[in-house]
Formats: sequence, structure tokens, C-alpha cells
Amino acid sequence: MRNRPDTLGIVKGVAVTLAVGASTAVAFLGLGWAVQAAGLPAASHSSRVGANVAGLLLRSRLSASTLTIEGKTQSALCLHHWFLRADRRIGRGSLITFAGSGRWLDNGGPIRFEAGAQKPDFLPRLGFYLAGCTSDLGKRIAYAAQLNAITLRQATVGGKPALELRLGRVRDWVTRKKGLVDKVSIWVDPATYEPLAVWAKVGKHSGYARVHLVRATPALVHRLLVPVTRLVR
Amino acid sequence: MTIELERETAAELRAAAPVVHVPEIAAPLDRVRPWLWLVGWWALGRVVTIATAMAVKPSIWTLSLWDGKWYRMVARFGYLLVPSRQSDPAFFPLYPIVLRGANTIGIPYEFAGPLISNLALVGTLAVFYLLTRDLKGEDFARRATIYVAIFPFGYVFSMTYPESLVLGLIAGSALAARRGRWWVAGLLAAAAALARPEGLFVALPLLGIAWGRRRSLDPQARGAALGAILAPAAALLAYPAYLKNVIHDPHAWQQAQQGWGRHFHALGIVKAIEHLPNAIAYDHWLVRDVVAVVLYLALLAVAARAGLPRMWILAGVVVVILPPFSGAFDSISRFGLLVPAVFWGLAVLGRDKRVDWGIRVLSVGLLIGAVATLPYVFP
Repeated sequence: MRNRPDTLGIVKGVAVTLAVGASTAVAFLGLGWAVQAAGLPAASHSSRVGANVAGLLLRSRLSASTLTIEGKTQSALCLHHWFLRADRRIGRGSLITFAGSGRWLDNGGPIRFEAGAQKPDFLPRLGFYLAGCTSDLGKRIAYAAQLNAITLRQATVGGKPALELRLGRVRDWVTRKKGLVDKVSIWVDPATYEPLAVWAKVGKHSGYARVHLVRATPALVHRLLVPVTRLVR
Repeated sequence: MTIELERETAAELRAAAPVVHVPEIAAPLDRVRPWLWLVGWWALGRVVTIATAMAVKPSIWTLSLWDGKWYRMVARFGYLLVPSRQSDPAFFPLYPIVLRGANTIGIPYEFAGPLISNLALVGTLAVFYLLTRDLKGEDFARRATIYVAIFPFGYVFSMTYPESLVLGLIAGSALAARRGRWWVAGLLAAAAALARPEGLFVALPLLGIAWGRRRSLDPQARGAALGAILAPAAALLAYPAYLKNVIHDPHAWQQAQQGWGRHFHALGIVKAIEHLPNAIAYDHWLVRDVVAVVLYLALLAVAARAGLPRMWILAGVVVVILPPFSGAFDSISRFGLLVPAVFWGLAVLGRDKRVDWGIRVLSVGLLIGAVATLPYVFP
């Protein structure tokens, strides 16, 4: 009976310790959240849409397009994959296969063209954007989204509602060369964020394209890959 | 009689003399003088760092490179996760909040980072010195503090990186706990965890301090101590809670980490060691981080042998050993800057005067070399 008050005192002490400790921890949790909410801005709506579109593109590997550059229209497939580089290392990159007029490969270093194919008189990056190359477009959109450089508008493509993402004019994000700037707009499905059309201006040249994502089946990928080694600088 | 008169006159003169003004002028100087050595070593480390950075490339951007870009991005535009790509949720929020605060009072973002980091380091050195003096006495504390100021990887303390701030918060939290100010300790520990994930492990030294004093604390003080120990974990949880609110994904930090090839896994360290030869063949700079791991662990062992508190050693080992579990050794040289026990290990070695000066000269030389690598490799 004499120990009872001591036991009660110990229990009470432990309860006070736990109550104060837990409430302090909860207070720090709330304070931590409040400091962030008060001290940081929220990303803009256009950046968040851009991040979603970029995320979808970066997860995809294959796109099909009908592109028009300098009045010339052609169809193309663009595959994002691992390719052997000129230095014998493996590097990820984009391979455009034009219907009937050769292939272009960009996987680090100078862009390679199929032997005998006519090299373009515009900067090849324009072709990679308009072919809907998922990595090139995805990274470009991600870059603009992260710099809050996207303007979002309601639009229509082929009579259907679409979202237009106008990407701010920035330095060439790949080469970082001063003065080399590009301007890109991409129209996407407002529900799925799948790309519908692209307009781009790189250097002095511009063009537009209708694009859509394609499922990269093993057979299709195999057909596009063989034989990449024929590509030259 | 003459003597008596002279004594009275002297006493009157003394009483009338304006001696009271002398201490008023001398007092502030007296308060500053004991810290001049610290400011001097801080200035030496910073001048060496900034001058070398400017010599490599005459632009403040040299100190705002690499992660600095991401911290500025968070401060200006807020968090944004781009799945499958390097994104800014990989960077903890306190430092961008401080950058934004500096920008609000008119300091451009490009200057705010280096300015805050360099200035914060003065306070950090002072707090670190006071904590170390509490633990091991004056001479030891001076040596350890000097080593922090000129540590070869310490060029990060001058960059748009939160390390100078976080080391100060960690040391300040422990100092406050040692002085029984548990609320302050909790606040500083929470701030440290909100600035860098390594801040979480200040909970271990706090636990050690609280455990050592458990008998002298009343239940309320014990509760405050428990709160301080839990504070970094609570603050760390506040980050995903905030991310859930603004980008609807509480796992955005982990996802963003994957953009840098980091993914924590129980066998991650096996993968990191297994891939090390290939990783070094691809990026020779990685040798720097592997050497840093070995050096840090050796210094922690030295500190442990010298009887420094075990919880500090344990926290240090966790900070050094945990990153390879993400599958990579990258940047451990920088993460180790947040381990006070590393500098204590160095101070143990520096007991011998010749070794002490050897460490100082070598540190300054290596610091210059390390800054020169800045345009080529991230810290």
C-alpha cells in the first residue's frame, strides 16, 4: 500500500513526458509544414500540365508523325532506344526513320545520317521535334516547365479540343550555345495529355507536324533498329 | 598631515575622473576579441575558396553551379515533379525558403546563395566551437573549428548549398540541449532536417544527451527532451506532407532521387561496390568520394578511440554509410561535412603541433585544388 503513491507518481510522470513529447513532435510537424507553405510558391498550373505531358513523353519510346518543313511533307517514326555510338559506347538516343528518305540518329556526339541520304539544310533538332521524338520533346517541355516558361491556351486540333503548350524561347538546351534559340508549341489531348501536333522554329527554319504515340512492339522496334550501324556522320 | 591631504586629493581626483567611460568603449571590443581568431580562419578559408573560384572562372556563377541551380529553381517557382527526369523535389525546402527570403529584401538569387552560405558559416563555426569546447576543452575546440574553416571539401560552405547552414543547426541543436534548452534544441534540429535529410540524425546525439541527464530532469523537461529528439523526424515528415499538398505526390522526393540514379535498397551498398570499377572507369572523379568515405570512417574511429560521445560517432557512421545504400558513392565527400565527429577526429590527430600545422597547410592546399575542380565536377 505504501508503494502505491510512488507507482502512481511514476505513471503520471511517464504520461506527462509522453504527452509533452508527442505534442511537441506534432507541433514541429505542423510548424514544418507551415514554414514551407508560407515560404515557397506553388508551381504554376501551366508548369504542372507541362510536367505531366513531359512525364508521359519521357515514359514513351515511339511516336509517328506527318511533318511539314519548308513546304515538304513526309511521314516518320521516331524511336527512343539504346544505340551504339561512334566511340563504340552504348548511348541512349533518338532514331528517326522517314518513309522512303533515310534515317537520322542522335545519341550523343554529331548527328548521324544514313549513307546516301540527303542532309537537311535546316538544323536537325527541328526534325527531331517535329518527328515527335519523345525524349527530345519531353526534355524540352520539362525544361520549360521547370523554368516556368510555358503558356497554356485552349485550342482545337482537327476540330477536337486541345491544350496548346507554348514553350518559352530559351537557349538551345542541348548545346547551351548563346544565340541559338528554339521556339516550340505542342498541342495535347486535354484528358490524356497525349501529343496531337507540334510546331517548332529552330534557327531560321520552322515547320509543323501531326503526331501521335505508338506502342513500341518488339517486332516494330526490331524492324526500326536493323541495321543502325550503316548510319554515318 | 601633508600625506593625509595628498591622499584625500588623490581620492577626490579618482572619484571625479571619468573612468566610467573607459569600460563602455572597451567592453564591445573585449567581447569581440576572443572571436577574432575564428573570424580570421573563416576569412582565410573563404578568401582562398572565393579567390580560387574567381581565378578559375571570373564569375559568381562558379559558386552557384550544380545543385545551386535547383535550389534557386525551387525558391523562384516552387516544387515541380517531372516523372522519369531529374526534378527539384530532390532538394529539401529550408534553404530555398531562406534564398527566397533574401530575394524578398532585394538580394538577387545569384548572389543570395553564396552570400548566405558564407555568412552562415561564421555562426556555424562559432556554435561548433562552443559545442566542442563543452565536450573537449579550449585547445581541442580551436583546432577542430579551424579544420572546419579550411577543410578541403569545405568549398561547398561558400556555394549555393545548405551545408554551412545545416552544420550550424546540428551543432546549435546539440549545444542548446547540453544547456537544457530543449525547445531551442528541437527547433534547430527540426530546421536541420528540413534543410538536409542528414539533419534527421542529430536525433542520436540529442538522445545521448537526454539519456545522460534523465535522472536530473523533471517529467515536463523529459517531455521537452523527447520532443526535441522527435523534432527532426517530425520536420522530415512535414516535407512529404507538403509535397502531397502542392504536387499531389508524397513520394516525389524518392521519385526525384531516381532521376539522379539513386534508389535506397537493403542491398544498395552491394550494388554500389559491385559497380564501383565501372563507375570509376566512366567517371574518374568518383575516386574522390570513395577516398572521402575511407577518410571519414577512419576519422570517426579516431574520434571514438579518443572518447568522444558514442552517439555522435554513430550518427556520423550512419551519415557516411547510408548514401551507398542508394546504389552510388557520389557526393559523400560533401555529405560528410555535416558530421562534427569527423572534425573532432582530425582534432585528435592534431594534438601534436607539427601534425596540427601539417593538417592546416595540407588542408589549404587541397582546398585550392578542390575549388579548381568546380567547373568540371559537382561536389
